[in-house]
Amino acid sequence: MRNRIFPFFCCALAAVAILVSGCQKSAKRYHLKGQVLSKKNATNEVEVKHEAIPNFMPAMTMTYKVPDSNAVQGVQPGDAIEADVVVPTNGGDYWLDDVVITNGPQGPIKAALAPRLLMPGDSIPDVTLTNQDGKTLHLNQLKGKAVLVSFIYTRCPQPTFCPRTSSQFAFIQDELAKNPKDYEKTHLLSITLDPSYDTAPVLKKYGLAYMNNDASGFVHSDFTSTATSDLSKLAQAFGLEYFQQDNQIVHSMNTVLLGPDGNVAKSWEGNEWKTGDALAALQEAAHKALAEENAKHYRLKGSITAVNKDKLEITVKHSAIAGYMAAMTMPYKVRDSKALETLASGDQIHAQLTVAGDDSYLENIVVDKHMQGKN
Amino acid sequence: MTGLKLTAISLALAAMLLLATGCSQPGNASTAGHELYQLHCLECHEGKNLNLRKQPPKLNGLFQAKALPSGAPATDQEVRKTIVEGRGIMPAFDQRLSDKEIEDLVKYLHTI
Repeated sequence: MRNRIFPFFCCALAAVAILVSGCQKSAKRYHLKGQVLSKKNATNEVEVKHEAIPNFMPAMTMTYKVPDSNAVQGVQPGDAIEADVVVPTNGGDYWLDDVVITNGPQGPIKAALAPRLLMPGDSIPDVTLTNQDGKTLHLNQLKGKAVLVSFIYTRCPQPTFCPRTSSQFAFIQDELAKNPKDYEKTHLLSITLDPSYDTAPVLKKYGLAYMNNDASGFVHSDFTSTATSDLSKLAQAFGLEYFQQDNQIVHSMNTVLLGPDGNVAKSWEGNEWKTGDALAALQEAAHKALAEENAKHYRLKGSITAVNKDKLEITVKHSAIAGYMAAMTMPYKVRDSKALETLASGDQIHAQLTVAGDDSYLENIVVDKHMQGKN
Repeated sequence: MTGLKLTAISLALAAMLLLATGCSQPGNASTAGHELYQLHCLECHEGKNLNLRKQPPKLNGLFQAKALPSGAPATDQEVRKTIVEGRGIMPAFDQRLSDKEIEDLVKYLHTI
């Protein structure tokens, strides 16, 4: 009896063990490839700049817990690694498992992993957008205003990505609305990464949800889509990475402030940007835009006594400026840095002096007589 | 080994088998719905402050109330519609969840 039953017990127990282990789906695992930027042995944490993780997360820099302290001690900043991101299905924090160093320190992270960093002054292509009302909108139409731009898509399920960005935009909209001048000189622009699904009515419904169903907010805030080819151009210009997978868009994030000249004034990478920072930058840019609009222009005539290319300034000994200033010698900013190349001390010039708020600069500089010995 | 002991072991094994098979049998709506809930709903609906325009409501007792947080009647049809089309700042799960998955999810929501 005992001999006949024992094998049965073993088989039954093995079967139970297999079934039980098979139902332990308490975490999901995603494969990560990236580079260690820093680590903290004391807290078992590593900061990793990683590639997009398919079905889970766009390329970004994040700090992860690594419960295996040997793994933390084993990696060094600069190491290229592969690991599994373990995501507890109960909503707990992510952590890294099975960390493998695939290559030793290689200096800065490879450019291929990092989206292009935006620089102030970068230009943005003027693409055709279609807004929530089905109306055509060109980026150029927004020149003269400070424009905060972000890329979202309406079905984005990650609360810390598109829903949070759109919530921050909604808060900024409310704050700007408190000052009519700021409101007039600023604009908010959301561009969808999912133009095939996010049609004008879908974008309208999305926008209204964030603006407390107040359609008057669309005067200041557009939710737009663009042709796929233009989206790819825009994404490149805005230093953004995205691709579609399983009806989701995996994307990086960049929130960008375009100045009144339509060029990049400031940008915030990722989803950790502060609402207050963007609001303050928008307000500052709006004040400048307003000052430009109310700028006064004067005619200046005189001779250059010094050229300072580093400061983008020339010092001019000039005659009295009618309605503004007595004759004197003083430095002036030059708006067009290229103009400085042709100017030299001793040149006699006339130019337009623009005074915009606290700012003043020379434009349209014409040399009436070059210094002696110069052609 | 006595007959009593054998019976006890057999019963214990039967119970373990029952528990194990009940845990992750394909097609078990409750388990599948639970996993879908944890994957797609929990992050927003567990009550954490996510700094969103509106705080997503908790879903416990969704069907025990007369109406959904939106005011719509607490019916399977309304919940299914909300999942597919989204509501307010909740994104639409249109084309991202199959009919079967939505069905499992709705069934699970009845149990919490």
